[in-house]
Amino acid sequence: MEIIFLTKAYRGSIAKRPALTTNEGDTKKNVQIRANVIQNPDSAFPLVIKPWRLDLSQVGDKTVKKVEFIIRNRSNNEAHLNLIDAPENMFKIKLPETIKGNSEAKASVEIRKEFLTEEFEKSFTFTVENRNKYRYTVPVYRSIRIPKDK
Amino acid sequence: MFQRLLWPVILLILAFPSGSDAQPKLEIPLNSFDFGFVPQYCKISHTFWLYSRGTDTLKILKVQPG
Repeated sequence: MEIIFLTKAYRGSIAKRPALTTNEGDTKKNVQIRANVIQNPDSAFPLVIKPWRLDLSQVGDKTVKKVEFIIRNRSNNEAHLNLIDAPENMFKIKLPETIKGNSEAKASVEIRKEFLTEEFEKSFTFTVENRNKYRYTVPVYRSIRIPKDK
Repeated sequence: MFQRLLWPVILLILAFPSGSDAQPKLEIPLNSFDFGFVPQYCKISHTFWLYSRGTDTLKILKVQPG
């Protein structure tokens, strides 16, 4: 079951508890999602992701399948990154394993060929460990526009 | 003699409950997910795995947003 969350103009810590009704009985079962919505992406700490929303859109015939982005470690401590959640078999995600304090590294997302003809809005989540533990979720979207005269 | 015949029947009944005893059962082993930091005005998603662990077909009747 895929739960989609629109972050809209929310700010700060948000929790949602969608409920499922089944033929199991009268009691509903819940799942819970939590997020910390950041108003200014440049103020995120310890990492700043640029761009934070990844656009894999294609205009015209030329296939767009990969996007690169920069992850900047604003803290003084080395950050260890670990991918923990992504749509199954949809992307090849390359994240740096570590980023030294006050430096940056390149990362990339590539669409698997089975999904090149699809439009989507998905996301992936990774953890960051320096002295504390954090999580970041990166939205990825794709639209396809091919001119009619072609 | 009667008891000898009865025991296998009782065991069979316990092993294969009748249709009326069949119960659907939903199990969600990981029912919580933390996205951590996310930007405003975007769409993010997570897939929860639902398992049917009962003896009858599980039907999802309704999903209400939180």
